[in-house]
Amino acid sequence: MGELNDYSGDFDAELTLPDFSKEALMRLLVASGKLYLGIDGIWTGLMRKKYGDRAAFDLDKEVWFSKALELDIKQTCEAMNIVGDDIPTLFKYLQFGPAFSVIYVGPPPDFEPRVQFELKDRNHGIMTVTRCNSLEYFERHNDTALQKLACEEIDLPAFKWIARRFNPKIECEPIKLPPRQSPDDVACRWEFRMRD
Amino acid sequence: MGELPDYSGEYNPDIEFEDLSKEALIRLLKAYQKIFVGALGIWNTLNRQRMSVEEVWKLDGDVYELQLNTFELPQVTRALNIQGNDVATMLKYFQMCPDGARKGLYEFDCDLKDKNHAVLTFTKCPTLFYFERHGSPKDIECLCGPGSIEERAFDAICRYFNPGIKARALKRPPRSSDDDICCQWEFKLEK
Repeated sequence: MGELNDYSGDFDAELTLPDFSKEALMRLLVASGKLYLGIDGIWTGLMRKKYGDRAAFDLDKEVWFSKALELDIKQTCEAMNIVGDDIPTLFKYLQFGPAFSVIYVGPPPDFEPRVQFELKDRNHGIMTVTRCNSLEYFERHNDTALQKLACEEIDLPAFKWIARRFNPKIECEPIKLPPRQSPDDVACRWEFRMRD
Repeated sequence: MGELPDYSGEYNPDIEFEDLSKEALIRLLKAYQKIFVGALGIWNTLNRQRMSVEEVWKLDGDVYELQLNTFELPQVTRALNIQGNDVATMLKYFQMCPDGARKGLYEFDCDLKDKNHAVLTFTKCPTLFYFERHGSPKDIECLCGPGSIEERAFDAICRYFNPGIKARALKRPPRSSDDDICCQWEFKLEK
């Protein structure tokens, strides 16, 4: 049996992931990343209804900063053998963690990247999110509270936390955060520097 | 540049999934599974500080059912072009969903009697094993019993493929010993 490009054929009880083509696996990876971030949104939404915005947002932050980010980094870096403590290593993780660059892409089969990484040198890098599905959702629903939670209360400390997790000397600061002036504007831009 | 077996080499600002070997993609997919299932466990653990065990599981069930219908079922079936409305098609989804049944995660033996009737015997369930070690009988009841998150999830998955498909538990936890199966479910299209 050749590699399957999808699973439109008959059910096969013995089928496993290696039976699929790379293209099929890539589609499944993007889908997996989307539902990982998606379930966080659903969970926060239900908690907002039950306990109000503040309690829900605080709990969501606790989830990410207590264990979820650490689990995310550990599993991704182990799977990809990403080892190191400099900014290029940090960028390598940000390229393949499930809730970030891998889902901010265009449609298949091209998966056009919507996060750009620019390494000025080993101690200085810029990351730009050109389009952000989450921000576009907040803008469509005019949900400023959720946008501020995601961008300022989760992403901002999360990127700082992740940077320090790779090396306590790496500092992260936003160069640009939402709200955007126009739909043509980038979503956000971040600077990472290694402190002397 | 040939296919990369992993990402231990130099940083590449333009790297894409395409640049990785199939083996690396599969390892990454398995890592995503662990992260997804792990996140569910983290929420469950943290919520216990704020609400009763029953409320924790009820909320987990609400979140899980909503994410199934909003994300997981449409995303996975679209990604792999899984189309159809019989039990065999539904089993294809079971095999491929990120927190689904396959080697190393939730392992099962499948007895496909015909395309609209199957019996699944789950022999390995990391979630059950965790709550056997760390939880209470109430946890296992909320996880696996009537009206549990498991039953709600199976019902939602059946409905998505065909409202006529019914899930019926033939055996549920608690287990009598470590050698016992975890659970057994029948999926059947009812006329």
